[in-house]
Amino acid sequence: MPLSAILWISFLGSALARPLALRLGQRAGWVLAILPASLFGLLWIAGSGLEGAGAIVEEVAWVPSLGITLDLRLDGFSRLFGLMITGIGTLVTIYAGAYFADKPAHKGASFLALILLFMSAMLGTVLSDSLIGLYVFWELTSLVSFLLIGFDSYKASARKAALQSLIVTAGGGLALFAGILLIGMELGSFSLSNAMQNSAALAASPWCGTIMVLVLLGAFTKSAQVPFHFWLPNAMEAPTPASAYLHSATMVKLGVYLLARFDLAFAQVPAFGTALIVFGGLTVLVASVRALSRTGYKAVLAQSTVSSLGVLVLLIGLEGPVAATATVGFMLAHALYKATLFFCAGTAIHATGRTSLVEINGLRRALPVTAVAAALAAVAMAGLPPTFSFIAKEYLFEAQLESGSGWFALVALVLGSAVFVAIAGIVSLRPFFLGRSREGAVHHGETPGLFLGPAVLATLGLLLGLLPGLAVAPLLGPAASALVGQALPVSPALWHGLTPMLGLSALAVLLGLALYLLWPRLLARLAHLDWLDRLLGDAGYNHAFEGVLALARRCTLVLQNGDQRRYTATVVGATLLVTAVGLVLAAPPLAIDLSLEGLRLAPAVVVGLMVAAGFAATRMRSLPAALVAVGIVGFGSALLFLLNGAPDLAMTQFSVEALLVVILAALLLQLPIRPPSTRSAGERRVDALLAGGFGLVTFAALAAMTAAPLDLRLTEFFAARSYPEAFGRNVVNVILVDFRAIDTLGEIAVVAFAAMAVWGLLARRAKGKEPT
Amino acid sequence: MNSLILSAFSRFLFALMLVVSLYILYRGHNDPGGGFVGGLMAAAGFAILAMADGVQAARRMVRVHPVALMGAGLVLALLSGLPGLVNRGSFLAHWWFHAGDFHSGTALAFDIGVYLAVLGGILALILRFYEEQPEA
Amino acid sequence: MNLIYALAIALLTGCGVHMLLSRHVVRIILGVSLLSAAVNLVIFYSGRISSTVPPVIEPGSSALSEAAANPLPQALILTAIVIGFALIAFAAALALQAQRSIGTLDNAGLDVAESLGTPFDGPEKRR
Repeated sequence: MPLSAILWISFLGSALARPLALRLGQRAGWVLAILPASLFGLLWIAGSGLEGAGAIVEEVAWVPSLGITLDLRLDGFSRLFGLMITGIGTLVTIYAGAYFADKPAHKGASFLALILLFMSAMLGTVLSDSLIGLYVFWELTSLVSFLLIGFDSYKASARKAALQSLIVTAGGGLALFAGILLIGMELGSFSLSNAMQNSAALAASPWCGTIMVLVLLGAFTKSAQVPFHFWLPNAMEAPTPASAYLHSATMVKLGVYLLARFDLAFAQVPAFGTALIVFGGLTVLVASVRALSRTGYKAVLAQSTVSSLGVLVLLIGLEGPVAATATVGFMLAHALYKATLFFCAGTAIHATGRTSLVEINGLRRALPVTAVAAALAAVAMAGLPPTFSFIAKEYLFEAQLESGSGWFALVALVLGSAVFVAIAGIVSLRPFFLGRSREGAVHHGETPGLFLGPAVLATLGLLLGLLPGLAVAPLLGPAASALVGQALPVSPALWHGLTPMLGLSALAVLLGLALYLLWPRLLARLAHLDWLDRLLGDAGYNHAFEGVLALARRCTLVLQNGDQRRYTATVVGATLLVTAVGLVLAAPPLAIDLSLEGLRLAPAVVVGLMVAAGFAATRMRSLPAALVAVGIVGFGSALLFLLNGAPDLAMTQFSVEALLVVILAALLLQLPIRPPSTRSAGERRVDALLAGGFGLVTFAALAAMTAAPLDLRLTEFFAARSYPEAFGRNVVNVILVDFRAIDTLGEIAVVAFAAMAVWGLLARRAKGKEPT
Repeated sequence: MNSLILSAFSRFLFALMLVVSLYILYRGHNDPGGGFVGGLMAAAGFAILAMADGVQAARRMVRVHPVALMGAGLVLALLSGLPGLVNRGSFLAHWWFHAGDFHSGTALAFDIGVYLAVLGGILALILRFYEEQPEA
Repeated sequence: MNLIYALAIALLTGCGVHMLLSRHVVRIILGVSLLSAAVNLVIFYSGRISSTVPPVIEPGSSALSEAAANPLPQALILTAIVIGFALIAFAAALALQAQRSIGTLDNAGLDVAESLGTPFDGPEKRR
């Protein structure tokens, strides 16, 4: 099956999801899950033949004239992503159906449709080989996640979080787009695989640094890396199924996906790896501190997600083939346990109606399956054997030791892992197994739809740990190989013997246990440190946001003050400034024939009269007198045309001038003849200055124009072809009705529009009378 | 403005301007003139009539609704471009027929369209501006 | 002669802008009229004002003589004149209707939109 067909099915299916869900009612989640499930199957089959770093490529033309394609490409890495997206998507759909069971049907239906659309957009992102296509799908995920985060649009906090995530991720997307355009400019192609193979060309480009910064901006905003880490925890305003999807498997990992892809393209730029290690490590540290200072169930999970993303970014920055294996392994392990934990959190919050970890206790009896799943996921999150996460973590430490990238990365990884251990206890032991549930605290029990997802994922995490071969050959091997661009032997096992990695694991677990036991005291300390919150939270974003709004308000109040004279003055002033600056910068030769050679009396007199009339028009208090003065200028210009070989223009101008007087007279008949002056003396001075400046700039522009050579090609064309081809001797008329007839058609259409508008405008007033 | 002299003179002037405008339209291809000038001049003739005898009289002289006149002009200009599509594959590439030194073709139809559109449009403007003024 | 033309065009432009800045709608319309006359002359000037012979091909010849005026700006100006007229007529109709329904053509009095308030005020502050 072609890859484009998979995308078509996905998008068409999500377009049909809402009406379908409305009909299906309570079963909607289960039925709609068929779409992601079958996409999962299709992707599994499509990629089953992939070996090593091989790939399936499908060329899709889009805008051939600009060299823009929508080429699709499936290799081991995008297949792993696609499978995570559709697999977790299936479970999220089922879970969401159950989660919205007691809400109005249209809400559930809209939510399911959005989730599926979101899945399609992510699928498009990871399947695109064309960077343009990737960008389009990338921004689509930002847009849909905006809708998902703000889904409870009646909550101001949800709207704010949605806007924040959109501004950060879509803004980063724009940076990415700029980077993509530069890549296309430098490499002559928008193909991602081409960029990955041409790292030397990219490194040699003078734009290399700019491209790197832009791509990093795009990825860091999407994956919530420092300093853009603040939006993701706020995005927890989304309904829990969306949080599970957005933050576990998928959207936030698109940034990681992008970085992993570009790791090869920037292989010869050492700064790339360094930047990833520094920012990834910082993110791990910041998120660890913040995770320990929160009490909200989802907030803690969100902070730990940010920390995991930091780990992934750091891993990509590390050198060596083990790092690639560790990246894909940790990605899969994290998706499995974090989605489970989000599901469990959602069920617990749904059941108790409470969101704080301090208030949720002992749900083991009320939610037995969920509790078991949470326990398994917690073991995985802590990185304990025999889960798959343990294997992934071993790789993680091995990658670090192998690359020898210094103590900073090591400290960040060990600390991060320790905090994972503590969080695992906090989010699963406490709410489910410790303490005692209050009487009547559980409003909703668990239903199959609610516990299927966590149960499946948690079991998978355990199963892959016991039988690592299941995941390696079909999934991780090709994925890691695709990242390094060559076949990579991957042979994970639970027991490696007594290695330094095991020692680091043990150290992390011990540290984590200590943190877990100290958590209540730690929380009491950290929660009251306002400066920490200000430093690490979204205060900077809020300041910037408020500042922009304040600036907009000030500009609007100054520019849009309701006085039309000020608008005109602003436009005139700005035009004046731009033209003047342009003239000064270009410094064109100013040539005006200063001698009075070629002076002809008649035109000179006409011109003098016109200027006098123009000045008179500006001075006249009486409107009819001003109209006469303006009319003199018009008739004067008609005379000028007549005296300079333009009888057509002269006739037209004469007719128009006569008609203009007729029409404006109709207006003046209804007005006082001498209206009071509308400008103060000061304003008149400003206006005189502006008008004088405008005249001066016009004169300078005309002088510059005179100096430039006259391009006569068109004139010569018309002069030579007018009679032989269009059989007309009046060249002006031939241009109008033949050579440029379409322009003329447009112009008479404009006249017709104006007449129609006047016809309608003045007709509406005829009260009681029949409009003619 | 109910001057008998103006009223009588205006009809003569109107007829003269209409004829002259048609002549200017026709000769426009080879001598100064054309659809724009012709249409404007004819409209000016109607304006004189409207000033002298009132809007209703001018309306009666036109017989056709000015907006219809304008529409007809636009349609004619548009249609005159269609033959060019047929045999030259280009809109408004005109057709010609020749009789000795006399040449005519769809370009003339286009110019007549311009004439009618300008005349109709400006007529509509003038009639609107001068009809049923409030007593003031 | 070029100097005289350029000077005159510049002065007329300035006069047009000065009228444009008025608050009285009729003056603004007259300003537009002045300005469009000046701009037409700018186009005419840009094709060089040097000949007095109309751009009409003489009988017996099949091409325009060298002495004739530049036909290209003339074709541009011809439509510009008519369009400028349509624009002014439309503006005049707007003014007429404003005078009829609001009773003033002074911009200070034309504040129906402004009295709705600014978007920065909350909905309760707006009228």
